[in-house]
This record gives sequence, structure tokens and C-alpha cells, in this order.
Amino acid sequence: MRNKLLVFFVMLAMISFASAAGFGLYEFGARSSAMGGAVVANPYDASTLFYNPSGLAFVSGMQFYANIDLIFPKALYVGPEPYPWAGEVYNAESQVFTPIGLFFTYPINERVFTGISVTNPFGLGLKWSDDFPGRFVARNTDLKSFYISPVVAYKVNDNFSLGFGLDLVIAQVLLERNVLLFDNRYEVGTSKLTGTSKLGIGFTASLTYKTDRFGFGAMYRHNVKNQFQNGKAEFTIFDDLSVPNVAVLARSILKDQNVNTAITFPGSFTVGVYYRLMERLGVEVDYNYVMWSVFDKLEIEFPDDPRLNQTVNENYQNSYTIRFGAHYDLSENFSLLGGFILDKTPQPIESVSPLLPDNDRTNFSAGFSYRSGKMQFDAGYMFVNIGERSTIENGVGQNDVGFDGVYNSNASLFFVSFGYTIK
Amino acid sequence: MKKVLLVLLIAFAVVWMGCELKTPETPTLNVTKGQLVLSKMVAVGNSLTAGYQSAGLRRDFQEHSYPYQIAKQMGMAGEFEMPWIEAPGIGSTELTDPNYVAGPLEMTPEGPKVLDSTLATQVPLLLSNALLPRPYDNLAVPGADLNDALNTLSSEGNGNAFFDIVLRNPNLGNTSMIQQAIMLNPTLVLLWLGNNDVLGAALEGGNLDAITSQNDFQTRLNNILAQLRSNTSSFIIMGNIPYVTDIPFVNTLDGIFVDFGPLGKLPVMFDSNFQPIDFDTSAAGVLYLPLQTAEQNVAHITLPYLSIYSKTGIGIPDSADIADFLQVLGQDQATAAYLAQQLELAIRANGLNPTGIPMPGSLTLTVEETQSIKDAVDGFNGIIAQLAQTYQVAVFDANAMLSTLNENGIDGFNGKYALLDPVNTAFSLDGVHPNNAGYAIVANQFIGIINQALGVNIPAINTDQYRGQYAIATKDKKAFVRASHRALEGVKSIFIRTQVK
Repeated sequence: MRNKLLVFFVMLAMISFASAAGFGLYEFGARSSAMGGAVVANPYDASTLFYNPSGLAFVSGMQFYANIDLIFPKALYVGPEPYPWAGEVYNAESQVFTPIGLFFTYPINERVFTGISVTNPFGLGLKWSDDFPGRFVARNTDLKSFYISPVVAYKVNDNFSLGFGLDLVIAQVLLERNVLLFDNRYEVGTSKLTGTSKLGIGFTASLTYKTDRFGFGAMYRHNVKNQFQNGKAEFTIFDDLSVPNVAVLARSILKDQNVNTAITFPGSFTVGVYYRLMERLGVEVDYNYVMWSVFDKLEIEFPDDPRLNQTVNENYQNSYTIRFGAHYDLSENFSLLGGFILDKTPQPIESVSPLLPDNDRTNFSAGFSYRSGKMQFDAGYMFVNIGERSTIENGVGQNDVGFDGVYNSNASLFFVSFGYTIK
Repeated sequence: MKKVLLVLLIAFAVVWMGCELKTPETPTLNVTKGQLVLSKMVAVGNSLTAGYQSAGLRRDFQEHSYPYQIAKQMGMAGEFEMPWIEAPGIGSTELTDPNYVAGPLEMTPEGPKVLDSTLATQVPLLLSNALLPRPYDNLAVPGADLNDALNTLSSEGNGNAFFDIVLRNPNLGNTSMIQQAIMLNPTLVLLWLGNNDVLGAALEGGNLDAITSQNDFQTRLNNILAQLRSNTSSFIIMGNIPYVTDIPFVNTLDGIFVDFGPLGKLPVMFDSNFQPIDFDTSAAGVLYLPLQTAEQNVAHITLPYLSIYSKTGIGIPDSADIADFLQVLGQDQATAAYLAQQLELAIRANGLNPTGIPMPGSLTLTVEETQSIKDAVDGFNGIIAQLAQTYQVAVFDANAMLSTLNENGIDGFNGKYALLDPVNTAFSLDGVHPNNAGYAIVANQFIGIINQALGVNIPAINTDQYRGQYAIATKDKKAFVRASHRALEGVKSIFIRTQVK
């Protein structure tokens, strides 16, 4: 805790996993996450910098708040009849991902509040075994995002505030998959594409209306296009090809070189309503609308050899999430938290693939928040039930690149946060 | 704090255990295993698989090759890539101007002729699919034998440009026919090789040195099948070897053999209808005059003799030969000499030239040579049958098919030379390769095997549409035979190997 900066950089090195549908992440604050992320209408701690920056105006003092998620995703794939691997189960490798949230608030005066946060609102990671039949689509995928978001909030009056922020975004991508030559017939080796994007800029605009028992919040986050220029493409050709001379041919075609691509993170619009039902019980329902249609295709360009260029169709559709959250205050210091999420997937059946096999989700969360004096300690758990998603409809495979089958996935998330009011 | 962490840890463990993913039910696609086998077809073979017709290869012939016809019936012709050779095509006939490459033979009122040719330097321009960035789906190379399929990478050393056209080494990594098949990771392989391990013997009039030894055949075919089996998961159909002595190139002139009892069966002088000439003008008897052959016990005379007969007169007996023959028949010396002179005049009157020079052994197949060739083919087919069992490979009985074609006909088509039956022949103008109908018949055989083995329903080809490919009626047969000599000689050239096996 002393070496905050060290923690910061170590955490930044970790990978994120998609807990919200598509490859979105929404768990940046254990209390907020334990309430299913339904917190836009009732700012409580510094994590409001992520959920509703205008809520800064209602969070007192100079605060520091840090959150870490431990995400344990599970995924498997089963091959369809009559493929040679029909009925065979392939489990994705067990990995743990640790997205972080770091928040710092700094009030200027009674009306103007500032703050800055570091979060990873988009990310995914999925790793399959070396013999996975879908290894030509994706064998190891890793996407990280870093949003550094300075925010300013203005308290218009006792009940109403506005917020405006910038998102300074950097993304990192890794895609490993096996390579086929000769019209995608002959496996020759593996490819690894890595890249760090140029700085992308987005912004947020938000408002909060809050009374003693009632709260209303709205938040808009603009999409951010991440340009990857001069990423690296590295190829490894197998030593033991059944036609050994093909290795020489492959090496001449598949040379290590630059690669460019772009991934647009979608913007979103969130509204929520909070109501304190009883003295100790508050409930909220939020609606996120995420404009995923900006993620329509992944163009992978090889400027030194355009023959290798590829377009991966994603065709994500705009989608929504409905969040229900509640807090029950056992005492002044201690609250029990719960949440329930209905998360519609933006991913059409044609894009269900080893890159990310998504589905409509139902998530459950629970946790507690403990506040005493200057300290806040929150912890909780969320179960993300992605469930089964098949690429086959009425016996016809729908996958864009012809890799069909059924997936089943879920994730367990543990979140822990610590907050400290400095002044 | 520690207690809280401990509780969390236990909770974590409990939850971790409970979140096992259930294995979903195996989904099913509306496609059968058999249909999946059809998804990538590759053909490996020689001129028979390339679609060679009438001493040449040209796009329209290639489109009638049996693999392409099968792909069409499967609805997959668009994906079946071939080494297209656009018109005028590439033929084996040697032209007087060596700077030009002949096209195939075409049927004309004067008989089979090469009508078109290309400047040798312009031939690469005919290869419209040369830039395909992967091996062709039809890897058949005219002239290839088993050894070639395993080892030959280019025309270097053998002078056969088709290796360059089909394999395109070094651009494809200096890989062989079998290796290029493996590079396509096929699900279905049509394999028809081995003909050229024995065909040269027939084309060269019984050159038994041109036959691959049984041991080598076994070793090489085993190698081919072992490579395909261990490097692909494909369904393989292998064609066996027809009797190479049962093709028009060998048997067209069988009709001119006459049984002379104790003298045996001898070929005799014939007319433009391929009928023995009866030189006895009286109604009482018949007199046939045997042709002069260098070899004894001749069973067949090959097709190129047709034009040699009419153009040069080699093999036609002179008066001395005739006199000797008449004496054998019982005439006295004086009468024989007198009659022989008369007959020589008659021969000249028929427009033929009685040289008395025996036709060389390269044009004749003796009874023994024919039997040796047949034995070799039987041996090869025995090896094929045995290896088919070992490697679980289906066999297309081409040997039985040709026998049936010759004995009973198939779909109303027969195995006669085009000059004898231009409408119903299944053979092309070179007397060696099938024509459109013949290849369609072969394709139907493969389709039958595929349908039965894989439980699919590829429709058969209506072969009737190919009847009468050589519709032009032949008016003057004498002229034909003159014209086709060069071309028929040319057919042999791509099969004769100058290298030691």
C-alpha cells in the first residue's frame, strides 16, 4: 500500500478479462461491483469517477481509492458432428486476470471538483491448447486497455451536478494463431501479432440529480478508436512439416514484419434511478446502452506484403445491459450488497469464435462494504453466467470463417477495494 | 483482517469448485461424413488423368478430364484448379519447324491432323492459371510413371515440359507430385498411375526393357501409398492398369491378320477399308500376301504403320518375297516368279510401293512380347490389389472396364479407332487416350465407387451427349493414313524414357 506507484505499474502489466458482454469490463470498485454496477444514480466513493464522474461533487474530500479484480474465466468448446473432432471437449487454459481501478479525487472548492482515474474498461483474454481445432482462428488472444481519465465536476446546486472528462486511451493487443498455406489447407506454423496503440482520445459527459432518498444519474462515454501502427507480426515455422521443403517456402512468404490494425472501443450511454426504500435499504436500476456497432470489422494490414492482409468480420450490434443493485446497511459502518445483471451480447452468431465466444449473460453479485473513519474496505464476488452458445442453427453452421461448434463459458470475479480519505 | 481473508479464501474455494462448466450436448451439422470427404478432391496421375486427347492437351480437353468432370458433377468445378493450357494447346507431334509446338490432332475430312501450333517461346502465355499460389488440384503429368510421382521435380533430365507446367518448381518449393498432393491436405484422392510403367513397351513395339520391374513397381507404389496414408486423412481411390495391348494404337490393324494354318496368323496387305486384299481375281480361291516383318510371330502391328504403309511401302513384299511365299503355298519356282511379277505390278497399280523392306520390330508386337506385357500388367494389378488391401484404398478396375468396352461396349461406345468408328468410339485420335465420351465413362466409374463408399449421391454423367465427337465423315481414307504418321509417332515420344530406370 505504501508503494502505490509500484502497485500501479505491476497491475498495469496484468491482463483483463471481459466481464461485461462483448469485451467490456465494468467492475472498478468492489462496492459498486457487488451491487451489480448499478451505481450511476448514487455516487458513494471515488469509483464514481468511472461510473458517473459528475458524482464527484457528492463525494467529499480528497480521496484515494484502489480496486483490484481477480477474474477466473472458464470456457470450453465441443466439436459438432460429423467433424473429425465431433464430441471432443476442448477447455480453454485456466488463467487469472487482474483489472485494476485507481481513483483520486481532489476538490478545488465547494463547487468545482476534480479527479483522475485509471481503469481497464475493455479487455479480454482467452487461451486454447496447442491442438485445439480452432487454433487457426485464434489460439491465444489478449486485449488490454488503459483509460486515464481526468475529470472535472461542477456542483450546480445542492442536488445537481454536471461532469466532464477526457479519456486518454492506450490499448495493447496480442493475437496468436496457427497459420495455413495453400488456400488454408496446410498447417505450417504459428503467427503472433502484437501491438500498442497510439494514444486515443475520448470524453465523457455526465450529470447527477440527488436528494435524500432519490437519485438520478446519466453518463455518456464517447467511443475511442485505437490505431495500432507498426505492430509486430512474428511467424514461427514448424520444423517437422510432412513436406519439409514447404518450410523454406513458408519462411519466404511469412516474414516477420510490421502490421497495422485498429480497434474501436464503443461509446455508451447509461441512465439510472436510485431510491432509498427504507432507512437501511437502497435499491437502484441502471440501463447501459453500448454502441457496439462501431466494432464491425478487424482489418489486419501488412504494409510490406498486402497479400497477407485480412479482414475479420465482427459486425457487433448495439446492445444493452440492465443492472439491479441494492445495499442493506446493517450499521453506520457496514453494508451488505447485492446485484443482478441482464447483459445482452453484441456478438452476432456469425462472430462467435475462439476469439471470444459470447452470449447473453445473467450475472449475480454479492459483497460487503465497511467504512470507518478515513478508511473504506469493500469486497465482493460476482458470477458471470455466459452459458452455452452454439454457432449452428437448424443444422447449418453460421460461423463466418466456417469454424462451428458449441461453447460454454462463465467467469468468477472477486473484487477487493481499499479507500482512504486523505483530507 | 486475517479472519476475513480466511473466510474469503474458503468462499473462493467453494465457489471455484461449484462453477464447473457442464459439457454441452454435441451439436450436429446437416452434412454427412461422406459429404465432408468430398470437400477437397485432388487427382494424381499421368496423361489419362490430365485429360490428354489426340496427342495433346488443351483447355477443352482438360475440361473433359475425368477429375474435372467429377468435380462438375459434385457442383465444385469452380474450386477445382487445373493447369489450364489455352488454345491452340500443346501437342506431342513433332513439326518440321522445331521452333513451333504443335497442338493436338483434330479430325478433318483428310483425317487426323495438327491444325494449329504455337511458337515455342510463346507457350508460357498459354498457361492461364500459372500464377495460382498453391498446387493444382489436378496434379496429373502426362508421361509420369511411379518413379516420377515420387521424385521428378521438373523437366530437367527428362525433357518433359509438363513437369514444369504442372509442378512449377522451384516456386512451389521443389516438391514432387505426391508432395504437392499432401500440401493440399486432401480429403479425397484420385490416383491413377502405373500405365507409363508398361505403356512404353507397347508403343515401342514390344520393347520389354521399357517395363518397370515388379519389385520396383511394388516398392514405389508402396512408398506413394505410405506417404499419402501417413500425411493425409483422405479417402483414396486407385485405378489399376488396363491391358495396354487392348488399345487402338495396338489393335486397330488386328483385322488384317489372316490364319495361314501351319504358317500361323500373318498380317497381310490391306486396302483403305482396313480389309485384307484378295489378289486372286478368280472366284475360286483367295490369295493374301503377307507383309514383311523383321520379327517372327507377330501378333499386332501398331497404328503408326498405317501411314508408313501408304507413304513408304516398308513392309510391303516385293516380287522376290512374293515368289518365295507362292512357293511355300505350293507353286513351282517358275510359276511363282511369273505370278510374283504380275502381283508386283498389281500392287503398284493400287498406289502402293513394294519395297520388300521388312517393317522394323518397333512397329510390331510379337505373341511373346504381347504375353510379356500382359503378364507385367497382371503382375502390377496384383500388386495394386494387395497394396489396396494393406492401405485400405478403393480400386477402380480400369482393366475390367477396357475389356468390357472392347467386348460389349459401354453406353453404346466401343474401343475402335476413330477411323473405323468415328461416332461410337471412346478413344481419341491418338489411339491411346480416351476422348470426351471415354473420359466421361471413366468419370462415371469413379463416381460409382465414391457414391457407394461414401453414401453420397453424385449424379452420373450422361455420356450420350459426347457421341460423334469426330462427326466429320472420312471421305478419303488413303489420305488419312498418310497424314497421321507424324502425330502418332509423336504420341510415343512423351512416353519413351531416355533415362535409366
